[in-house]
Amino acid sequence: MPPPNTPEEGLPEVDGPSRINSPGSSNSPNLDSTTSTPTLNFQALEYVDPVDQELICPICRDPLLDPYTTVCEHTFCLECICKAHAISHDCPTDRTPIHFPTDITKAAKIVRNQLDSLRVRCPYSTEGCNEICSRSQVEDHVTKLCIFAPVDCPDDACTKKVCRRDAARNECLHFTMPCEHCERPVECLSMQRHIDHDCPKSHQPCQHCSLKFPRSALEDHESECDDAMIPCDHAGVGCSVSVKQRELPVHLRSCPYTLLEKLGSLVTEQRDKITQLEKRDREMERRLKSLEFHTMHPSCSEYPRSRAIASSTTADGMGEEAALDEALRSNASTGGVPPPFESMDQYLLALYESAESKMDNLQKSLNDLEGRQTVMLLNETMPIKEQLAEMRSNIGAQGMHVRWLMNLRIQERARNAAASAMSGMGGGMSGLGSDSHGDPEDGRGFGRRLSDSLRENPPRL
Amino acid sequence: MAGRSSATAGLLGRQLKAIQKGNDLPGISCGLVRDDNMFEWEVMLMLDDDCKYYGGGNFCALLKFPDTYPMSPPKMIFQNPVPFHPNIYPDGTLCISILHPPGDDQYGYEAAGERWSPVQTPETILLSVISLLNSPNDESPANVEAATMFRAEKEGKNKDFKKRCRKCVRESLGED
Ligand SMILES: [Zn+2]
Ligand SMILES: [Zn+2]
Ligand SMILES: [Zn+2]
Ligand SMILES: [Zn+2]
Ligand SMILES: [Zn+2]
Ligand SMILES: [Zn+2]
Ligand SMILES: [Zn+2]
Repeated sequence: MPPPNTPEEGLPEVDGPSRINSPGSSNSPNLDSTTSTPTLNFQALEYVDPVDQELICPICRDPLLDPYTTVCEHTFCLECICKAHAISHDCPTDRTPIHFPTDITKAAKIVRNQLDSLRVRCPYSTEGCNEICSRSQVEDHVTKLCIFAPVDCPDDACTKKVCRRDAARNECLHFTMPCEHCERPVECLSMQRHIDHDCPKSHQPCQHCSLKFPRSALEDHESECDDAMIPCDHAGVGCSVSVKQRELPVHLRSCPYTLLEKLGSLVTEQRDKITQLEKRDREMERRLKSLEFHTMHPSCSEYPRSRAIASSTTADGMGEEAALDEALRSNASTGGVPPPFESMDQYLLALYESAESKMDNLQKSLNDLEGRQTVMLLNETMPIKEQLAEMRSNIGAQGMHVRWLMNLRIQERARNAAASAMSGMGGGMSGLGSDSHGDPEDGRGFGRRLSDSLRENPPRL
Repeated sequence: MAGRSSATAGLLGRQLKAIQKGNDLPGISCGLVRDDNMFEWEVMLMLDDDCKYYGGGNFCALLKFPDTYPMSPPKMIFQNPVPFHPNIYPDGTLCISILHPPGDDQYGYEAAGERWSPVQTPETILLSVISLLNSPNDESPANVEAATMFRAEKEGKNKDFKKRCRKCVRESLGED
């Protein structure tokens, strides 16, 4: 009866099915070439991430292994389609007749690349290997690197397997020796495993309940031992009680902080609000003090400042702040009133604040004034503008009248001139020379000249 | 052979889990006959009232998978009470084209397209079974008596077939 968990037993299917010889299989990895390197059963690989449905073989329902595509464009693992072909010469998916080897080809490069990059766990993860790598690299890992993979025993006389890490010791460890705790014969290779898991004598007591456990299970037990002391669930809100795990439910039933835990978020919220209010309260108090000071000593409102300026100008080397301090002190001693400000900073701050508020007021009244000014200006200019417009229209109307009157006058003159010419002709040719004689009526001189020009260019009526 | 079987067992385990998790098969529940044997499933069929002849019945069947699954189809065998059905042998074995291997010429009348293919799954099998219970196929009788009665009822001669089926349903519910 070999001891349990010998390396041979722990190996996950080292000898996978030998691959079917079929077209294209020369490209598939030949894993059975040497006996000394561990072989890899690709079908037993554990995939770390969920695999896209497109990459799953419709026959074995695993991620495609060495995928081949049929003439009808269905893709299967080479091994799967070969097995199916041995039974029926039709495509398993749509029953298109398929003839080997002409009707199947290696699947597209992009599919193979996607499959190669799928991440898998090392098949020896149960032995302790934590390696996760792409499917194309896992074979290299197992056959060359994995220290948990089984290899032939370094002793040529021994036919057993040993994991690569132990093989590095370069001696056969397949001999039995008595366990130091229970004195049972155990194979040297699996001694550590025996002590950690199986040895009945090497058990360690739990530090809480003093029950004994194998070393491998001790840590798990201690973390959930019923006798372990653990803090109350409500330690976060102030409960300082520690109880044994088994008694926790009893304590929780009576723990006064249970209620608080429920109100936990409310409490923290209110705590925040209180600190906020306290801050504002301090500010208010300071303002109140400053106001009190101003109302009780209206004359003093300027006092510290003027004194400070005076003293800073007179006393050389004495800083303004010191002067202000002195001013404050003197003010306190003379008035008998408690100093309105606790420190110079506060006083300056108060001054600054009042200046700022005055500034604000000024700004406001300035804005007010500006607004009022604008309105006033508008109010005054509007009627002026209106009057201007009215006058302009009046002038226009008058200009029209003038032009109309002038035209009337011109036409009248022209008619008169024509009439007088007719009468002149009727009075005999003697009248012809009368023009060159001076006209007896002075006022008509202008009219004559006008009519002269009219005569040169007589209006056509 | 052990390696091959373990791959098949893994495939069956995943397919069983998928059926138990999914809701694609209403009224059907699957489980293992024995926890250490992945190759024998127990299937409970609770037929809903839409099923003309067997509605309301609770039938139990075994699905037996060969080592060569999915290259070869499983067998489905109804347990007592076996439904009185033209396509179910009196011993409970179900005769349905999806469970017949394509190379088998014994059932020449079946179109190859309805035969077993390695891409079929327990889920597609059970869907076909439900459809066969809803509409029996009287052309390839496994139970000649049932087929004759079914044909007679279809021609409107009598209601004997339905009466026999209802009796089966009552038995399946433990009422008779
Ligand atoms: Zn496959
Ligand atoms: Zn196809
Ligand atoms: Zn590894
Ligand atoms: Zn050795
Ligand atoms: Zn021991
Ligand atoms: Zn303990
Ligand atoms: Zn508490």
